[in-house]
Amino acid sequence: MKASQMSAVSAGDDRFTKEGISAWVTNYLAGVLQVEPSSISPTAELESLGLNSALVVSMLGDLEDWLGVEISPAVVFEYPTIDAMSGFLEQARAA
Amino acid sequence: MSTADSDTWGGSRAAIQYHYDLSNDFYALWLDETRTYSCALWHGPEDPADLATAQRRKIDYHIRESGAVGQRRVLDIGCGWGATLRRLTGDHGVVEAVGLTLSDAQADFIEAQQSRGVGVRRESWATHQPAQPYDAIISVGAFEHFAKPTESVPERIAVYRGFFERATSWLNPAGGLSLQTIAYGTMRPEEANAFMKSQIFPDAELPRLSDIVAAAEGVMEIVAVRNDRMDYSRTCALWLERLRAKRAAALKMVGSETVQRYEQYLKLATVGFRMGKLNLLRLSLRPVVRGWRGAIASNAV
Repeated sequence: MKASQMSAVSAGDDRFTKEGISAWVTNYLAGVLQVEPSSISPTAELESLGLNSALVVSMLGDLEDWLGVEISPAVVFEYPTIDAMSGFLEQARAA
Repeated sequence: MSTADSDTWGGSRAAIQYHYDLSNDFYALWLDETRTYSCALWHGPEDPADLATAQRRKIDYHIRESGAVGQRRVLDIGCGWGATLRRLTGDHGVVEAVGLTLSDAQADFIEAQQSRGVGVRRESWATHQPAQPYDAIISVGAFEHFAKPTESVPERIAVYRGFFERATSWLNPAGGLSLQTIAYGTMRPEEANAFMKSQIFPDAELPRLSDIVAAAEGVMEIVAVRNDRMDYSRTCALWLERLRAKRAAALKMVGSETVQRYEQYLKLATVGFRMGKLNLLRLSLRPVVRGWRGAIASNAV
């Protein structure tokens, strides 16, 4: 992580908790898929949302910018729900 | 075929050089120590082999499948930076390994190595005319460049068929061809990513397995087919990781726009193979009717 990005994150910032990341991903996907955020279940398989590879890569790129960490594209397959992915990213960011 | 056609039919030299002549040092940064720029081979997701080990295993797989072990003359079509050529002569007892590439950067690198028994020609398979037959042929990661997006499906199949016919005509009676190529999976050609087609691999079109089968019909028989797309997803993810780890050096070599472009391409490929949009095929083939080969070979060579 870059120092500038580190300093932007204040202690106790709850945006980057599992819940915060989950909300970000849900809103992102709702926007792209043009559906209500409430219609996207955090425990549903990401695969079931019909995402194509370009969309997954764009989302991960935007997530990287927001979180300030690099994310392997394999993450969406190893942690295939919004819940699981958000939990992993919270840990990865804190590491 | 005119001279102009011979430079683009079966693979465009300009398109190959656009990608592979970018910078040998840049590719060396993130490829493994064997400088192999194609899908490696693992024995399932739990296989802990590192990238270089999995690349050597892939090379050995093709050497075995083509029947090249201990043979006199072997051809590698699309030989990259020569890893398979050096493995053939250095570890598998092959006397003469001939590589074809349209990339000057790759050919320069191979020539500079001066490996015993290794030769490289800056030629397309479409114009190659060997003085003597080969005992085995290997082609890894080249078939993707043979057809063009502007060609119709029957035209593409005709190109592939031309490739199988030429390969057959160059082979000795017991020889085989081991072929590795990316192919469309669930993705249809019209859904292919515009960025990949314009900025990464211009003027190239992937085959479908059915195109390859149709093209080989009556020319070469398919002995084995594997789809190892998960291996390519893993390979691309590792390349991306290695490129990111060396980003500072990469930026100095090729600039930020290119580094960004390659990172994007490796991300898309990692995801595309994992989703099954793209397949990674490894095919073992041999000429279909042994009795005809002599006549074809004597005409073509």
